[in-house]
Amino acid sequence: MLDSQKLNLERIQFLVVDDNIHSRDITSAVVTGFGARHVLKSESAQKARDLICGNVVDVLLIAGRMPEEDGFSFVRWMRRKAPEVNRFIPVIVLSSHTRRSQVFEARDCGVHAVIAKPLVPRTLLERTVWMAKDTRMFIESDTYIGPDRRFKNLGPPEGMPEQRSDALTVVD
Amino acid sequence: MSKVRKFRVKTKLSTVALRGGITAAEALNRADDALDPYRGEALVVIDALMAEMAARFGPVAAGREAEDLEDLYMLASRVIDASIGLSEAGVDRAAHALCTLVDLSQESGVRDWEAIEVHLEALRLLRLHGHSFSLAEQERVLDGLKTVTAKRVGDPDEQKRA
Repeated sequence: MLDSQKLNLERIQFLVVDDNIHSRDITSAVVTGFGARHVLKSESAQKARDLICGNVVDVLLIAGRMPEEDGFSFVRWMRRKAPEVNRFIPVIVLSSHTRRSQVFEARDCGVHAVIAKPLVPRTLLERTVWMAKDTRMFIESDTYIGPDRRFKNLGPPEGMPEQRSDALTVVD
Repeated sequence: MSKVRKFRVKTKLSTVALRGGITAAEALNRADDALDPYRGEALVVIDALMAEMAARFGPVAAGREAEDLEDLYMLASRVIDASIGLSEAGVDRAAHALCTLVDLSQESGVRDWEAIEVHLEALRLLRLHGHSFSLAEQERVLDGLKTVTAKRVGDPDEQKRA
């Protein structure tokens, strides 16, 4: 299914943020392989702020753990403070390991997806296509700005009836 | 009461990325080619990281009590970052297990050198021989790490992989 999907990333500007140069170069090489011609790179959240404030960015790929400021914190800032044109762009956090204390932070900072490293090109491509097709509403509240986190309605497990249906009565 | 605003966002990705271009299969082939130069480099990077971990945190590291466990966490996470093409050997998962051990150790305040040494040794084993192990053999090694962590510092099953 994915293999026959057509994809045109020539006009999409990516921003890759990762303090690890090897990892940053790998991610950039993968998106360039996908056909992207415009890839900005940054080694820190601080420098990424300057890039976000001075450029139009279409997709952000950012490392979860970085020494001075992590990717989750950066996304939280971006959703509130970045220029309007970049505030709501698709974001993927690339995470080598998520600390137990960061699980909720990862869920609540406003990213579209978290991908585990080592980076697998197919996973990144699937997520990119998925984000391009994403129709979720954006939610803005005092504590959260990002895509609606409630987006999966898989229904009851296979072979199981909808349990609430017994308790519901249709009233004319 | 706080206000909640719901709105739709039209991104450039959604408007141009699915119009024309190359197939995903072609994109994946090109990305795979683009990664070629990094695969050899990855082995060098991983070996250097493992050598540093052994020198600073292994059984022969005289000054390891003074070392910051955060550095071990960082080194192990760098191994995960670099493990392109080594996933089949289980290297990234062993490094992930080491990150989990260190994370739980930092939470609990327990610094268990034997548990750390077992993880470093498993990492070395999988780096050198993981490709020749069956999946079941790799799983036994990784399950062993999980058991060590559970017995010595805390339950790693509570820490799901991101």
